[in-house]
Amino acid sequence: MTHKDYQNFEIEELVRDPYFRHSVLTPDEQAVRFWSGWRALSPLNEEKYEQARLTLIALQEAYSETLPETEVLKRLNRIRKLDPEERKRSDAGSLNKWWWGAAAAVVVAAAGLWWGYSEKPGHAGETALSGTVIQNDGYAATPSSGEILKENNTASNLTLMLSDSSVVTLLPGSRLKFPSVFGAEDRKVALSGDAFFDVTSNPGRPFIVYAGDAVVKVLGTSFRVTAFESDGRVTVKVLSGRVSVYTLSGFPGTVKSPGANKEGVLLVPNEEVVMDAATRKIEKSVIASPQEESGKARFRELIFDDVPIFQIFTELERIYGMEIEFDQDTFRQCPITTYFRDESLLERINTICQAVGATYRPENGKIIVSGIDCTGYGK
Amino acid sequence: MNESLDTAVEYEQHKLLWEKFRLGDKASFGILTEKFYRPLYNYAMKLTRDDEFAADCIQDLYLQLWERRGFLGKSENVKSYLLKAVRNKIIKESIRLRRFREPEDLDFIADKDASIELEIVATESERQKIDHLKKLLGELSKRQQEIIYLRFYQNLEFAEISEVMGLTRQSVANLLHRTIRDIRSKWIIPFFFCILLECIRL
Repeated sequence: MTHKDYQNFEIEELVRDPYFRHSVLTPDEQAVRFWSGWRALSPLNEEKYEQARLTLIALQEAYSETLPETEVLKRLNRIRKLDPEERKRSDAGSLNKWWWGAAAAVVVAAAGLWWGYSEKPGHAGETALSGTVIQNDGYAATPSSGEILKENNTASNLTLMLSDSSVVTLLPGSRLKFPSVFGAEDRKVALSGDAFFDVTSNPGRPFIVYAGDAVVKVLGTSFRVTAFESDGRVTVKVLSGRVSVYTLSGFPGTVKSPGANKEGVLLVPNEEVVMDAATRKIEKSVIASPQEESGKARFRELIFDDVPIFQIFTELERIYGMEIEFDQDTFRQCPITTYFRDESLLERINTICQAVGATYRPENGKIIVSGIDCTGYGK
Repeated sequence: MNESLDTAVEYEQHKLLWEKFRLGDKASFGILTEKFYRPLYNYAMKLTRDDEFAADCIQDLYLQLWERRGFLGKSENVKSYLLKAVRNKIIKESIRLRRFREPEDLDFIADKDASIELEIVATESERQKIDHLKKLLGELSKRQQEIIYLRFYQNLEFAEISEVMGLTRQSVANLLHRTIRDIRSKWIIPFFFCILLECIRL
């Protein structure tokens, strides 16, 4: 990416500059490198940079309001429900219906402990078939919904889109089990290995990750779970919003334990818990360096300047390692200009589809994009 | 000239979403409402320190926009349109609820406790300067504070500020110029002093 010439920038201009703000408030390696280079050009630059930085910090501290993401979503959801039209078709299966739902980013890495079930005799191999009720883990599939097991045997990340449009990035050597369509009550998945989740918010249908001996319930948030089998423990770190962590036996939804205590451990930003697999004890502490935990660092800055939409899809397929199905001819003639910084995959797909009036739907982990001939858009 | 790439692209996206919303596209409206919830809430909280009232005003505004979508005009600038709308809403509702009498009574208050909520890590000498600047900002008149806030926190252009606050572009430029000069005269970091206090980062 080329940067504009900041040479004669005054402090006031720096304070308002998006790239400067980005480098101070949410620094990444590239931005830090660029700005230290700029500062090194002259003592004047150095002084301007420092004053602008302190000014920006003072402004942030003076004017920021704390409003948790969950609260924003709750409020937007409330507004949506007040709309009389929306009440009539509240259960439509259209993707549009969750226009109010933002994606919450989630990172999960889990041990293979739980997955032991599939290797046991009496189970139907790797792919749990529809109707299979799985014991021990509380994750019982609805008989009517097909179960899908995706395994990432490649050396790069594999991205899947679930039926609720939540996006899961499976790291190499990881497996995810999910129903082809989530039930009405909740959204349950089971993970072995390492994964990053972008969970669409839906307060009425909690998103539940079974990972090793831990159960992570998402209340619309971003967090990270690390559970390497060799460590014998599960770690959950929260970046924003809130999550609840339970032991498998203590989780209220567990089949085997109707009388389970309902006390999960509630985590808020910059907190983490460690659960020891042997003792099942959960201990809470504060994250030492929260900055590093941000999942957003994975997302590359992308600029598409008048690029045909099929090329953008191809690029996204490559970056995320996912399958996007679309009709080459329909989208061949649709050049669009867009700029992505730290959006989630879902936000990116949304932006592109909106630009050309296309729609998309998740199907068995893939994204299927359909639309009309888009000649005439994106001029 | 000041507009950077992403804001230029963003403006275009917002305009496109606004156009679709006017034609009744719910998804576009959903994206707009979500995108602007935080900026609107932040502004509303400066004008009334009442969280519930701020939320209600935004809710009302959103519902009215959707109801009246067919009657809305094209919007060249969605953000300033919405900021202005929420400001007007707060004035109107405050007068209706007898919170104050005249539009001129509209307050501008940065939360005094905000510093406890959010304190960005800084060295001791940096902390002194940051707190000093915050104190200076708090001593400005409410319109000066608002203009600084719109310019440097909401990142608006002169024309946008004049639309939101209902001032001429020239008075925005004058007031802003004077305010910045005032702050600068009180909050200076002489370069040699800077070296002494190690304000060159770490």
